[in-house]
Amino acid sequence: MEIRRGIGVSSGYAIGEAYVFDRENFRVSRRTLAPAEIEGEIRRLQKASEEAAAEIRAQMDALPERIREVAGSILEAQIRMLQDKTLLEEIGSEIRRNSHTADFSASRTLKRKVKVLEESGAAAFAERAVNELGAIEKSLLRHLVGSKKAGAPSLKSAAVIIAHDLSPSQTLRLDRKNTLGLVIEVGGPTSHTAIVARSLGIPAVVGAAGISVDVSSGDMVILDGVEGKVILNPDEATLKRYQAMERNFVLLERQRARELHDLPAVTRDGTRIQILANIESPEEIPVALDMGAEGVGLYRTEFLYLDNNFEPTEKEHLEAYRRAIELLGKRKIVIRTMDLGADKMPLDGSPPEDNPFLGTRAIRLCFERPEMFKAQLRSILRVTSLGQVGMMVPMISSLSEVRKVKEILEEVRAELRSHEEPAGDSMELGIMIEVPSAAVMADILAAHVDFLSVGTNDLIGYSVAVDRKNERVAALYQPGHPAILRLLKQVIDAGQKHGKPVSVCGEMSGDLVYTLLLVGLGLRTFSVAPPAIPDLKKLIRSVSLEEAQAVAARALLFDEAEPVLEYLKAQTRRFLPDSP
Amino acid sequence: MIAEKQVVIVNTLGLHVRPSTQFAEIATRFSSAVSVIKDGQAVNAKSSIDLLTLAAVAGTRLTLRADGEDAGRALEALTRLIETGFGEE
Repeated sequence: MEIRRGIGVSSGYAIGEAYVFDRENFRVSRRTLAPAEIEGEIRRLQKASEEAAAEIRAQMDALPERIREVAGSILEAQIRMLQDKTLLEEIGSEIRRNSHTADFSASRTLKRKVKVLEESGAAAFAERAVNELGAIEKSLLRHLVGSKKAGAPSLKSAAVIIAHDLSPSQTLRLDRKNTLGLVIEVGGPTSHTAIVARSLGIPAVVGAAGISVDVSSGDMVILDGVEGKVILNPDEATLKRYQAMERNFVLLERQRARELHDLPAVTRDGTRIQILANIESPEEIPVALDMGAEGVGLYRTEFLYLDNNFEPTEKEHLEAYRRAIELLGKRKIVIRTMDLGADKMPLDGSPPEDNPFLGTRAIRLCFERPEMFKAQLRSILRVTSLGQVGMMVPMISSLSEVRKVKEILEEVRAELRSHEEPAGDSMELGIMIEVPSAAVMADILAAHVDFLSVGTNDLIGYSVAVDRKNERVAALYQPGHPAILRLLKQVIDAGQKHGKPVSVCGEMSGDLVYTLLLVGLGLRTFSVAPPAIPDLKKLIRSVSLEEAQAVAARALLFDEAEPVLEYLKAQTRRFLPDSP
Repeated sequence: MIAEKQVVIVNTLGLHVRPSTQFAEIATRFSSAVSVIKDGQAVNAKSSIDLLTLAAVAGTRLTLRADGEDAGRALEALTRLIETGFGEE
């Protein structure tokens, strides 16, 4: 048994077999070999090493001579390493000793060497050498098992996924039924993986450095998302204890949701707060309603694009929207138009950008591809009459973009009218406030739209210039930064001035530490990941508007993020003593 | 016959990918068993991958040990390779 520390980012427990997901997703098999198979496996290893070396030699020969002079010696070194006799013997004896497959043994042997390097203390040297060994491992595995191009972990049975990192699109495409939990080596509490895991209610631990080297697919693991621990090969007593904890956790969650389900989110002195859910797919709506959501405040439509080769047809749009509306009945839904690009860029053949977060993202991509955009707008307009539908546009940075969206919307409406179809005249149009320039201009923008929704994750990231996936700077990503508090106040005030509703749909709105602040600043609509709803309701119901306003007023007086956070945490505990 | 020799890595990159392969290649030319020892950790000098795991950066002290008929000549050749910095600079 071994205990590893990480950061618990989505609470709950997961107990089960590990599924180690390699970046290139090699399906390494841990099968135990029959004695008669052993020699064949060793021959397979030999053959893979020869093929891999031949492949690199062919690559080398294809290089123009001048480049070959420079790069050739590195490739030559790779060839030699692939044919390193000592290495092949070591893998071979691992195959014999444990009756494991050649792929599993190769991967295990090389990972052991990576570990030696990582523990050597010579960080810069080790980093490059580890990359080299990684390349050798991949090249061997490619010839032993072939790589899967699917790009997302695919599970045959329930498992705890262990990966160095998962891209947002990989996380979105996880098989929810079989994903017991997620353990990621990189990232922090605000990484995309963490966000998606929370919204799907999947227990998750991030920042578990080095774990994918030490765990093999099939190993028994316990993920403790409450304390941020991962236990490898637990002993019987630990396993029993966690099984009991897991059962209790699930029961408590359900009980909590049930208790609060029919109670409105209203402050002690009667201020009504609307709590909506963030969803990625209509299938999440029943869970969201169970948790007590009053509707959907953010329907992320990226899934539709990722699932349909990045060009969903109108039929696919319509089906998804109709399904969502059907599940919601008369309740509200806000559909956000496509927000691909940046880290969620599909592989549509466009060349990679140097700075995708500042590049062709979301509405910018939509303007570049008007037909694609119009297909989505048309679909949204056509379902408007079926329920209470709003639409919002991400990544707005200026008024001219708002005008342009409205123009395109009018063109689509005119087309629909010419076919005598309903043109969704009652549809409310909102914009996301997530670019600092839009936050600063909120009082102007608010006059031109029906509502504003603050995407705090990007707003914070762009404001403090921090990529929260970069561990080296992640600590600078602070929702409690006084600049963020001021921006939020400015946006909420702008909405009030124009009588336009403002919601917050970023992570911050589901984090109880900021609830009092947001209510006190005047926020009346929260859109959050469904599992956060019961606690959010509970906190709102235990405070008065006056108290929340006092908290907000005080929080605005600090000049640094740390005391803001400390103060807000203390206040949250005052009203909700059992909060984390 | 067993021979031993102390050496210090002088090239900037240390015993990295290319130097390791060069080193292993020369070691393989001799019939003696050759090992490289760093802080008590010994690896087979004929394996570039194992040499790499020593993480022998510039300035690292290593012990070379050869066991076999041509042990002396093997150490001589390998020492020269290290001392000339693998022709890196």
